[in-house]
Amino acid sequence: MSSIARYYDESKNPDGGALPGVPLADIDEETFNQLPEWLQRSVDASPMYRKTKPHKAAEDKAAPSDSAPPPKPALKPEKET
Amino acid sequence: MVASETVFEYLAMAREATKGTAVTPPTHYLPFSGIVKPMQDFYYATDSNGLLAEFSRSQAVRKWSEWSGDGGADPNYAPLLFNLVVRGAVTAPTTPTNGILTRLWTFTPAMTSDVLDSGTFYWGDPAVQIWQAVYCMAEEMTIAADASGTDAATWTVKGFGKFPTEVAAPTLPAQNIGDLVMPGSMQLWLDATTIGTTEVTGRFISTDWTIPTGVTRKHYAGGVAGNLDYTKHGRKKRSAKAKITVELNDVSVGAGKEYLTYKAGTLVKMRIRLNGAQIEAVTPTYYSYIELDIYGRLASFDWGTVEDSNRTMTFEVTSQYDSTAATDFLLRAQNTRTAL
Repeated sequence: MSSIARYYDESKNPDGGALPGVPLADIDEETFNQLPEWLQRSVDASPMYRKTKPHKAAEDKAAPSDSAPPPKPALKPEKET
Repeated sequence: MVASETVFEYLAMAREATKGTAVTPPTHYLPFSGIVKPMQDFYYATDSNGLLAEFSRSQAVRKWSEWSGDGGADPNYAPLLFNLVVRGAVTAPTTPTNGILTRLWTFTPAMTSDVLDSGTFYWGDPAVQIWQAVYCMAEEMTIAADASGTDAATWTVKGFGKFPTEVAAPTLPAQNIGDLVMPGSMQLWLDATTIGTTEVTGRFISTDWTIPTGVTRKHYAGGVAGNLDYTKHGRKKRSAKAKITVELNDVSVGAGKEYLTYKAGTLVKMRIRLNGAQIEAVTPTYYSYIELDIYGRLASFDWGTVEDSNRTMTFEVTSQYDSTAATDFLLRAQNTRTAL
């Protein structure tokens, strides 16, 4: 299996746009090399593709969380009157 | 030898900040097919030289380009094109009441100034050659929707530009295609007082819009350094036309309805909305759409038929200035786009 040539950062694609002929997903070396040169340049000019894996914070922001919700803050005691 | 394949051609564009100054790379990858065509006019001199050949001399006298595109009408790309066709420099939408995702783009023609955007267009098969044409102005847009047919609403747009130059294939942005708008979901309102009040239901069949810009191409002398291309554009009076076809029935010939409105020559305020998919179910529920408001009289009456079984009536409204609206027509697009 070839390595990833370009990583897809969904957080940089809020409108859900796509470059025709380019997957909206990580692009492996084989697929990237098969793209015409002008489309490779278009991929590299697009903010939604990057050469390095998106930072985990960006992944967490883009992906739904599987962890338990944070605990609710404790209620302040009512003042005695 | 690499042949230019029509299947791999694309049409892309960018709005120009300064008319005639190329914007590169393109900012919008248009989802419909089109062409950019180089044009030259030649003068053939009629010389007297005793020869059978009609012409002995000729010379190019002017150059320009013609561009055009057509495809499914798309509320996502409508704001971009309406900047060239209706009113320029509209780069931000409004948010309708309770809307979260929904954005409304409104294009009201400027009545007392020339405010239309120009574009730099790119076209061709990138494997062979891309042509770039600057100072592209729109001449006309048409939109058609027929509920009795099998097509989605479609549009065409055409115009002129400077003579195209060969460029290296530029980088392209992502396409943000929107919903196709379904003629079966379209709505029509016909009023004499307040537009958008009285909906015509159960009998609206089809509509055709023609939106000209009145833009002209001006070729002035450019001296020995001139390139024969057009110098600048001009603007002349124009009017939009909207044709509607409705079924002839006991309602459409009734009081205050289409036929008697036409017969009386009443000035009407007509709204036609081409609806796409639902955007969000808030209060109210919002849909993507392309909408025309047009003011004028029902005219150019014609009989027709639908499904070979029923009689129809067709009317055409030629836009006429309405002092309340301060325009003769306007166009809107509703989508989820926060920017062009």
